[in-house]
Amino acid sequence: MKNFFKSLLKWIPLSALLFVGFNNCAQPVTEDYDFASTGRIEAEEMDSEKLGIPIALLSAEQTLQSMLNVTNVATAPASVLTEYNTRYGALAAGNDLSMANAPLMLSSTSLAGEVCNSMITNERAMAAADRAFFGSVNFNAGISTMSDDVVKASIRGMARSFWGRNETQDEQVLLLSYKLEFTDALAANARTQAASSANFMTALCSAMLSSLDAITY
Amino acid sequence: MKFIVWSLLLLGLSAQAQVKPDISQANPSALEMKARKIYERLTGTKLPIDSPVVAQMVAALNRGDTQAAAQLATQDPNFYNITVKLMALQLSTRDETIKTPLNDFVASMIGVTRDQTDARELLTGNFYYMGSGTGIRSNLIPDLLISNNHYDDLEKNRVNLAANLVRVEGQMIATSATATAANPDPAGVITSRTFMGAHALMGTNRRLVEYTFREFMCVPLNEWADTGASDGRIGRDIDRFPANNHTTFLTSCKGCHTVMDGFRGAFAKWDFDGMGIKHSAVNTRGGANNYTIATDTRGIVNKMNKNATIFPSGYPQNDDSFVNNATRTNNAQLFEWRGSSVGGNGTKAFGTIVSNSKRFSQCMAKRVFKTVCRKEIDINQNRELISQWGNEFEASGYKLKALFEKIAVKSQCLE
Repeated sequence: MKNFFKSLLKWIPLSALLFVGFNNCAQPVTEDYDFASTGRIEAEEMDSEKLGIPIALLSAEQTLQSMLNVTNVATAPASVLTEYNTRYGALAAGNDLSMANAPLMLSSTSLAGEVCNSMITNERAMAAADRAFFGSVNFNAGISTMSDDVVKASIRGMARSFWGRNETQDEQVLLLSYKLEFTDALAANARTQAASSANFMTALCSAMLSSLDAITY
Repeated sequence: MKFIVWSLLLLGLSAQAQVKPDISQANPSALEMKARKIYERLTGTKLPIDSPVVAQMVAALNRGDTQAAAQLATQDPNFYNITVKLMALQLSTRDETIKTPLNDFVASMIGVTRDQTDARELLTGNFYYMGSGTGIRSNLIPDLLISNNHYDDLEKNRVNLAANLVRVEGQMIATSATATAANPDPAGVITSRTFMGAHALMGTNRRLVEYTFREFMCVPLNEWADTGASDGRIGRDIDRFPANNHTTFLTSCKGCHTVMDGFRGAFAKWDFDGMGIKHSAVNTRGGANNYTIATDTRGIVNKMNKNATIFPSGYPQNDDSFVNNATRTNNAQLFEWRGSSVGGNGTKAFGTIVSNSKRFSQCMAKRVFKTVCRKEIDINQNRELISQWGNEFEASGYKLKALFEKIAVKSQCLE
């Protein structure tokens, strides 16, 4: 549990960065809607359903099920359900985009962290060739030996599953820079420890799995 | 509801096919995106773009067979476990929120959708749906009739409702801690514990009428109020001179009460006490204690005729008859009644009139549109379109599953 909270401190800022930085992940709210000219919609209107915006936030139950679907975690383990129960109140009570507030994003990230932890546990138990997302990752070596190409391959796989598309160049650059920050934050001896690779991939997965494109539909 | 899941965690969720992303692929094509969108809308969950289901749906779309593409999506248990469930949750209680516990109303709606029976059964049928499994409390009286234990357990244990729910013929009412009786006037989900619990708890049973129309006709009371209709059925508890002003009654109060009180008699023998539903034909008449129902000697629940001194010349409810006062021009056009719709006796007759109207079919189309397309559609401003969708629903035999599949691929939905 202590490690979890320590990891959380890394995931939350990255998630926030992704949420703010990757607005191109989702259709901008105001795109194609000329509010001023039609006069139909008040400026303060935030309800995406009333606005007719065909993008919706996943509700709590949808978020959990979607995260499991796209990470190949067929059965929700106890840790995931416990986290879901804990965060349930902060996850969306509907599909309106205006419900995407800070507590929701934090809760999504926390839930994503547990789901990603399960996903990586599952993948590590597989032969490299059988893995869906981390086929090129050597989980027995530290992050210091992990090349950018290995990270890029993992990003691509997760982007296609979580977001339904390839990552953009900007997104890739941002995520690779996070690897650099993650590595720099570790003591030299920690970078060579095997756990650092799994921890980084968990953080990377959590950030991508809780970004706007992954929790809207 | 906040789930408390500390046991039986390994029962888990429905298994999804393992998908290995193809990282050598370019961005998905427009058709792949369309297929994924249809899938996500119908199942309410995300789908990896490299899922074989996407390829199958694309093949169907390439053939121009949009229905087949939609049917691939509705094969996913999440169509029932998520999409239909969330739609039904909103209809089941007064709060109209999806953060509502799974309940008998929702289970019935999932079951009727899955079994592709006539959706009018939802307002007229004599059935309910229940599940089973380890850790699921299933004793009829304590766990279904006087509590929500059974459905709470199904939810806590994350039971796959799409596969687990079983239809049970014959609604029951608890008449004591150990005895039950057949529901004498079953009307699908209207006489479910959840709907009755939401709308027959205290009050004057008017809310049952209001919310039946709100949920199944998609019309709030103010939109079908009619000050020009007969006030002959307005109860004695309604002040004709509010604040000593009869005009207020004539121009405001009367409008809602003409139509609502007209139908209210359908619920004259029903009550809910916080535990289970009660009907005066089977529950012991007397005080409002557990399993007994507070009625007069004719079996009319006391709350139907309470506050009778406010306007003693008002209508006294003497039986469970009702009249349809929503038949003047505007409401006739709004609801498009069919069959014998002037009135009747009891809830089943009430549910029959409501579900046989064209508005019911149109409302179901509107609800499905909102659920899968994530957009509101105004029936009044899109009458022709909604009417057409309602007709398609009826032509399918009132099958909700087919309605979902049709609506999800409409251009208005995908745009």
